[in-house]
Amino acid sequence: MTRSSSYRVSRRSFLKGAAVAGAGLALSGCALPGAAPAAKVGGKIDYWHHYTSESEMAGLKAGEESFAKKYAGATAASITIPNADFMAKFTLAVQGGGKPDTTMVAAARVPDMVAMGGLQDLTERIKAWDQRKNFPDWYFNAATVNGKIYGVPSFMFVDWMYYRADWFAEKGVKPPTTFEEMTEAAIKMTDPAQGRVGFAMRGGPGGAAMVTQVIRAYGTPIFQDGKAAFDVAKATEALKWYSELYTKHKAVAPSVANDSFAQIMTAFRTGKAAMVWHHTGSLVDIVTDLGGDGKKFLPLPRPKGPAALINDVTPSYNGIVDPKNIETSWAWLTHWADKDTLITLMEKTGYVPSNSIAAQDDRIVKNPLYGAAFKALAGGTVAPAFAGQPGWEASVVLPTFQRILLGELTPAAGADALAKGLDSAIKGTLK
Amino acid sequence: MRRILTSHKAIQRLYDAVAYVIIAGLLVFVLGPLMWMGLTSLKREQDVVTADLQYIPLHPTLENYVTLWNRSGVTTMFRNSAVTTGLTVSLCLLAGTFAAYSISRYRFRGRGGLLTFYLLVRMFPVVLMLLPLYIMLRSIGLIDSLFGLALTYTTFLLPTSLLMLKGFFDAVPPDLEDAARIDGSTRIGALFRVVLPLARSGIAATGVLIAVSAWNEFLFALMLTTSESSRTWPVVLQLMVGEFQLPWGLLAAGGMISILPIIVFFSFAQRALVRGLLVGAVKG
Repeated sequence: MTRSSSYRVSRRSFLKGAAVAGAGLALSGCALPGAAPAAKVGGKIDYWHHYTSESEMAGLKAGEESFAKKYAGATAASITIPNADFMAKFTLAVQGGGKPDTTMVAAARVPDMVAMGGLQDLTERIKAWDQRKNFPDWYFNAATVNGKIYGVPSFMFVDWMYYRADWFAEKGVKPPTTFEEMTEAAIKMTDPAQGRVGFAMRGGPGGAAMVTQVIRAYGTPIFQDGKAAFDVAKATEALKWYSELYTKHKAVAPSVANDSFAQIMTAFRTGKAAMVWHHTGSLVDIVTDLGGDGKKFLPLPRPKGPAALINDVTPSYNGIVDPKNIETSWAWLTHWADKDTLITLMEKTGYVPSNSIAAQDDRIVKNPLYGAAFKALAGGTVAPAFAGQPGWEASVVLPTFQRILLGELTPAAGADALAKGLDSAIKGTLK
Repeated sequence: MRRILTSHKAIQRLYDAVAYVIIAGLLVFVLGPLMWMGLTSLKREQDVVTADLQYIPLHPTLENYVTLWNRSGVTTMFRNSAVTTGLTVSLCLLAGTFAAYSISRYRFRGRGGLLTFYLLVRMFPVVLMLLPLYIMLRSIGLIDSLFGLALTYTTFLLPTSLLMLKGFFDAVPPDLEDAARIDGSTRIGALFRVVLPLARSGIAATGVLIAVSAWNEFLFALMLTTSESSRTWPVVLQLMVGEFQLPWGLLAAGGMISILPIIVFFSFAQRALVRGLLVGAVKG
């Protein structure tokens, strides 16, 4: 039995064939979009975040599981760090050489995290990202420093207010749409006999953001085009209006200067306050106590100030800190901007998805409680961010406002102090 | 004469009554928050945040304890706290005993300066030590480890234990050691056979104080550990405080669990602790 010469394979022809086949495989690999980067996704990365509540942890766990399914061989280890201590721990890790692969990035922290060299520039990756079109340009503003983007938007905190729909109906008061209407409503809703106040004001920790929002609503943007934009006269008016809800109208609890999130939210949830300002993040808790049928409470966009409607939308970003496993880190970041991941997170926590495709999903659009959030999102504003801002808010804005509430400072003197503090914060000389 | 005595007795009774009222007031002030925490831990979440305050749980339940204990990683972190505390107490007592004995018994150049240096270490705000400690622990591979954490606690607790132990050793008469040495004992032998048995109450008291400090420490535990396998109980409690949610019932249950080992520890070591703290209080 002889073999036909046409079937005989010499060493040379085998090598030639192997080379051609190899080249063909390589070319086909290049031709498949995304095939090459996907091949590099694998291994374990860590992710620092400040989720702590059970609902947040449930949302995070669901996201981790879908990530492991989507990228076989890749896992993300989530590390919880309390929000209050997050920056201390992050700074320590960056300075001490123990960087995590990826991290959650709160918008207000971006400048400080970039300044210490804690975040990787993602500009080129985001430009080439196939989901980029689903994110309006302004969503990236708070993650942009000197023209470079350092974070991928994940979910949004949309500011709004909650009000007691049943009490407003009882007294025949319309829900407020302006600051003036809010003052009137707060006065009418205050009833010392029933232990009720019109407005649960946050004058304690975390209250500075509300103060700066009111100032911006009076037409002074605080920080613009890389420099201070603070009008003392307008800020004086703003501080006067906001503080008089307590000092003049007594429509706020006497403990205001010490009231933080826990106090204002407990006051609203237990029927001690008619209105409270917060964002979509507290919806799940309030629904648990007051029901989600709209009978006892409803959410509403914040009232408009004399010069502007300030409804801050705060995107929460994810960023890459250590680029040693950058493809897996990037896959993790884009996973948390994915429509399905975000809808799952929203169902667990109430946090609004940043991906516009997700925001059009029936599960969100058909939920009446989210109507106000999307109304607010449509005309949403972004809080100014600059290096030193958290320090200015914590050590100047809040104590100054507290002194105004306690009658130790006039609104005019307070506005002066804020302007001086802002100047120092921008120069980096704030003590 | 009788009238004077009666009036003295009446005044004495009045003083006693005032003292009891003050003590009762202080007890309410000290035990009130603990009782409140205990009662809150037995309430359902919907009974904690209510318009009308409930002092006594209307529907007492152990649900918070069960939920807490079933949370992922909680038992591991409880064990981590126990291991770290045990290691810290061992390290502090081992190093502190020898160092305190040396300073108590030997007169050498720089002795006073050394004591001042130990005090100096306690005067720095601990937060300033974070970065150098982090870098050192990382460079020797002990970051995110229980031993690294125990070593860190030792750096801060050793000066305290040393100063306390020195006081207890000072109270043991050197003549007893001299007698042992005349009988043929070595210096180390005298330390183990004579001094340590006499100072055991003081050592126990020091150990309890170190244990309490290490058990409750939060800042270093948070900053120097990252993974669940090395985080401790105070970090677990802090992680329960959500940014937008406060599970009061769970937190109260966590608080009760966290003080439980300390109460048990104190109840065992109470006699030794009191005796140790009173050593040298009365001379004669």
